[in-house]
Amino acid sequence: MLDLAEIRNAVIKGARNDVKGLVEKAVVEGGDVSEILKEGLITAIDIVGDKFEKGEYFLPEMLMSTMAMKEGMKVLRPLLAENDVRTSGVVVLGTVSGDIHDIGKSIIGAMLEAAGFSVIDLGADVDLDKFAQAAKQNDADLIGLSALLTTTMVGMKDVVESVKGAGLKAKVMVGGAPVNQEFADQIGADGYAPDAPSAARKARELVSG
Amino acid sequence: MKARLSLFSEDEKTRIHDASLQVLANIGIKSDSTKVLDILKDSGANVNYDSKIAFIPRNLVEEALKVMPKTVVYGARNPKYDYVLDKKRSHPTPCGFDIPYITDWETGQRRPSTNEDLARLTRLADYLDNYDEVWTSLASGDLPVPIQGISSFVTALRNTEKHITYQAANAEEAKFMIEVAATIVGGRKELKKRPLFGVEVSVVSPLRLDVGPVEAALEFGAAGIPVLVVGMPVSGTTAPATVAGTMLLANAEWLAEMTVLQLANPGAPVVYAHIPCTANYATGALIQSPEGLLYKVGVADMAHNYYDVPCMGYGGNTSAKLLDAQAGSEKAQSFMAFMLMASDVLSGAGELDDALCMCPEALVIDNEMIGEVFKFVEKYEINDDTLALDVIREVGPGGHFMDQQHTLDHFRELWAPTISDKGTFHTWQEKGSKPIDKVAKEKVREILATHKPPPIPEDVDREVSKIYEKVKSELLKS
Repeated sequence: MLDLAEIRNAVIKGARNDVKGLVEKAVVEGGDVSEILKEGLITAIDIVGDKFEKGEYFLPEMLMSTMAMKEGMKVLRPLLAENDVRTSGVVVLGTVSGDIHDIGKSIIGAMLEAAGFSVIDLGADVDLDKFAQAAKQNDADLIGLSALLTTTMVGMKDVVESVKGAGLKAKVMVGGAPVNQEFADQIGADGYAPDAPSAARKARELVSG
Repeated sequence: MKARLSLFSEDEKTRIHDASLQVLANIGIKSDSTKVLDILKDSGANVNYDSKIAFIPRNLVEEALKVMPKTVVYGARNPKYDYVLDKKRSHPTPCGFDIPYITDWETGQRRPSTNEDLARLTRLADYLDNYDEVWTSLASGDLPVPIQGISSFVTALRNTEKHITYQAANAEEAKFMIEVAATIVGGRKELKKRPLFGVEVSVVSPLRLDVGPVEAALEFGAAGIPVLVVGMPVSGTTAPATVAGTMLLANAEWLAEMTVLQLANPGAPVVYAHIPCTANYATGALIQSPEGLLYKVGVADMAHNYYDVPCMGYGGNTSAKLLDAQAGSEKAQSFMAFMLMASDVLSGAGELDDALCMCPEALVIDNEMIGEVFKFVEKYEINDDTLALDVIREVGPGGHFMDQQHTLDHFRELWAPTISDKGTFHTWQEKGSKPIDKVAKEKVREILATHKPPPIPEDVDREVSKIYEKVKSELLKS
């Protein structure tokens, strides 16, 4: 029986430098790769998610743990069978054109990664037509749009239209300080989330539903 | 790196001190306690026994200032709550004493307080982390008047492990309190080392040391119990109508009582605790006001920066009748002012209506406010680790700091809310669109349902009960 407690603890502590070595060691010692993934990394990140929900963990801890998990994944991914790699879905993220505010969207990206999504972050001040393009290229399940300015949030409407017009499967979720549910409904977005933790929940809901 | 506040120039402090000495030497203080007049007379003061006025010469005051302790030890039932008033940090406490009303735990309606209310409020403050001690806040209004004081004292001790502070009406009550506390702490010698309680002793403005409080103070001084010398000169009614004149009177009164206590028991622990204020000049009632804030800043400036002794600030005071915007504003102003001064004893939390009413929800909200102000007045180190030049280099332009070990190591040092709402409008709405007093009320319920401070050990408590029952029956007879 493989002892994965050390790997779990390292992920929970966000010790990314340790996780890589520990996962490699587990593999060398003949551990089952799928078990290392599920009982080690995924169990740990779920515990981190719980701690976050309970208010014991905050963003920096969440982020550090996510980074630590990614280090472990780098070791495992080449060894895993295709269907073993858990992914909640592919998300294309960005702050809409004219808006340089980056950090809120990056926090959501980290939260989504922790929730098992594979995230393609287009950055800030993203041209509106880029979103549909990237979604198509990556076969994305979800597009996340962020805005901090009332002047730029109107651009979200164009993105929704271009996605729907192109017949993409990706759903569109919007957020940011000036955005609310009413606005999301008005522009025909599929979802709205008021902050980072609820964005991760909403994303799961939209993708599974 | 530390936020600071000061009030007087060096010259101004000297001028107030010199004028205070003139007041004491030439105008004198009045006392109907022959004991006090004798102490002063025996030490060389001129005393007129007909008018009961003593003229205290400069050298007596200066000598007393020399022997007065520069720091004061506060013991507690649980030694982990012991601390020292060392002029570096404020130690907040719920307001006191014998406050007649409480806003009801359930209805929120104001009503007379009971001994059970005092017990519950004491437990609440025992739990709340920013209260270093717990003043005996509420009156035991449901008990017969003669035994209210002794009952409140015992109730307070039984419901918190932290240091408590109370007042005594006379020397008899003082003796009772000393005996009870000595029983709990393990004798009078131990009590002197780790006084479980302190007392507030009132000076009557202008310039009167009344027999009850001052003779109680002498008992406490002999037992090594910290005495907070409190006078409340009110500008325009019991003090001159000017800011400087009120400050002068307060300073002279404090020096007078401090001198008497040092003459009787050199080295007795004393705190400069005057709380001058202004009035509503339509009614004469004292109120919370900007000058009142300034007076207590002045007391702290004189205490810490001229006499080098501990002091009190009355933070959290409000004239508001409800937990409303006025209450929030007045409380925040006073916490900010006195904590910037590091006023050692920081009384006043939880009160409304100029200390005529205690409000459990206010005690919870004030606890949060105090935590915020502590962060504002904290001393922040500047060194290689805190400047974080390496981390800035590591992240570089355009990145973010959220995935840095340095962030993980330090972000919890930054303030985080406990009951203030810092979420979005949407999440606030989802949680029921609650105003903060409602959130605080839920917190009060949760604390009272779960927090039980360890009781006084059974055998010791039996001794305490014996002393209490004996004094109680004497008081009820007389």
